[in-house]
Amino acid sequence: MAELLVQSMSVAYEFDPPYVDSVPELAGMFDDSVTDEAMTTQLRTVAELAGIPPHRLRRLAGPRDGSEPVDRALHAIGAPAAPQPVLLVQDAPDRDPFATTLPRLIHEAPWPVTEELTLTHLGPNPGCELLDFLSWWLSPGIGATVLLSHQPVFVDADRLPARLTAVALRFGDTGPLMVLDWRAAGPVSGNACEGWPEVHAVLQDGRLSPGDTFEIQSGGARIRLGYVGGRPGQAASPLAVRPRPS
Amino acid sequence: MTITLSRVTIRLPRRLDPVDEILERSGRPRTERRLMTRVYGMRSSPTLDDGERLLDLLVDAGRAALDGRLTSLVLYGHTLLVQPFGHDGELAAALRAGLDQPGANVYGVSGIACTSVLRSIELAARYLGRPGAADDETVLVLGGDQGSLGSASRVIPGFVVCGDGAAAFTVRRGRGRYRYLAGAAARDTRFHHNLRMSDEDAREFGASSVQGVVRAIREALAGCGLVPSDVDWILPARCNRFVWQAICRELDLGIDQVHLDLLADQGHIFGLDALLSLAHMDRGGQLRPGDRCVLVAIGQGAYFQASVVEVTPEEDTTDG
Repeated sequence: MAELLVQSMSVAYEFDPPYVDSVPELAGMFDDSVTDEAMTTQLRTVAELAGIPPHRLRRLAGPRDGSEPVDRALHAIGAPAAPQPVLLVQDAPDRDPFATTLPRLIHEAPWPVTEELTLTHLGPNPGCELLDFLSWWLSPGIGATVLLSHQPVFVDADRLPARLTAVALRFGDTGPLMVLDWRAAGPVSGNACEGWPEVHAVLQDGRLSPGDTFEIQSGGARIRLGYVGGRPGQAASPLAVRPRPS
Repeated sequence: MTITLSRVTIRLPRRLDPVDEILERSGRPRTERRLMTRVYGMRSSPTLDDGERLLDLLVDAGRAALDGRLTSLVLYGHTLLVQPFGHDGELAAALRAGLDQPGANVYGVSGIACTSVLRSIELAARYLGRPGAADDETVLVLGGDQGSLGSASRVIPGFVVCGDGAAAFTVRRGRGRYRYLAGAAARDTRFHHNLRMSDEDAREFGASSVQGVVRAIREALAGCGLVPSDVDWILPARCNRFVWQAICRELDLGIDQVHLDLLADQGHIFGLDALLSLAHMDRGGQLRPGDRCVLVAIGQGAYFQASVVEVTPEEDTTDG
């Protein structure tokens, strides 16, 4: 298994996201290509599958300032030292149902991307599933930028999220943070962004000493991390912690 | 390391909806309806009936492909991000239960539109080649979408009508029905606007598709030391014949090497097109040992994928 070292990271939020009544919102997005009736039928299906009464179904509209959290997280993490892949982890459909997020991100990325992919349907323990995937997917010497997006598109009007979150994690051969091990956290589920904003905060604050280990709960996983030294994006010092044998 | 694919199991709904009716329901103009039905020759599109579920087709196809084997990894390639089973944990749990694979990692592979199923072969090969992988590990690749979920997913205006269906195959080391020789991807992300493309972009998309497919095929063939003249069959993404004629001119291949027989009755079924052709030709005895087939997918966004496989002799086949 490849060592998982976090080289740099960034976090972006969208507070008070704009959820709207689905039917008029979506119908207005079409020209003459799709009838209102067809769209209404589709939304009724979505509501039924989500277990939400159709009149309470709300859909996430476009961002007020034109950029989604995932755009800002990718921009904030900056360019890697060399071209590398981008992995987008989504727990919902694209925000714009008629355009595609991943190729847009790649098109607008200010650095060359060698390969891109979106992972979906990670189940109740997305934190574990993601790290399991990275343990064989990451190429040594190349690494990857992993974008985690928690952006529920269809929600119940009574349960509107207060904010949307995106986390960008750049994995490489060196870095200040090492993923030591992970395991399912029991009957807890969640999204893959969880826990990482807190990690970002403590790294930025400089509260960690080389050799410190700590645990986060992320997407139904308990992830043990070791601080190697330095801040995200800075050159890493030699490893002070090693993975616990599994 | 030799990587092989099993035979492909296909599960399509029995119901076939007339393409013209679908286009009319979607409010498409009469000129476009005539173009699709009379010029492109599309007649019908597989459609889930009331009470039928895509999930059941996926599970059924997956169980048949596994044929009792255990798998540690299930890759589900899909185009559409609005799915009939939502996006939460239900799909992974339902697949593990339905396939009787409680310990398998399950991942949806998407974002690269209809190339996601063929790209999953590359992911499977990478997984099987990881340090510490056992020789007898099996990866299950599932593919499928439900175009009939709504008009927005059913019609790519002026291009094709999309149907419902599922397919599955396994990827392993060693013996199998098809030896995987190489794969390659290409992209042109200028077209990320997808269904919001301007008319001008839509026109350019056609030309870009030809170049993208040609690039992917050439690179895939180069990856296994072959050239276009070594190819016996192209198993295509189902777009109209004119696009494939242009691709064939670039590669100096005959249009009769492109298996477009299913376009009329099935239209386009997202990432399954090439697999449906492979299964159809194999069932019909049209493939001989040693035949080299290039499976091709085209995805909105735009993405292009080519996978080169070689048909093995029956005695080398351990899969159903």
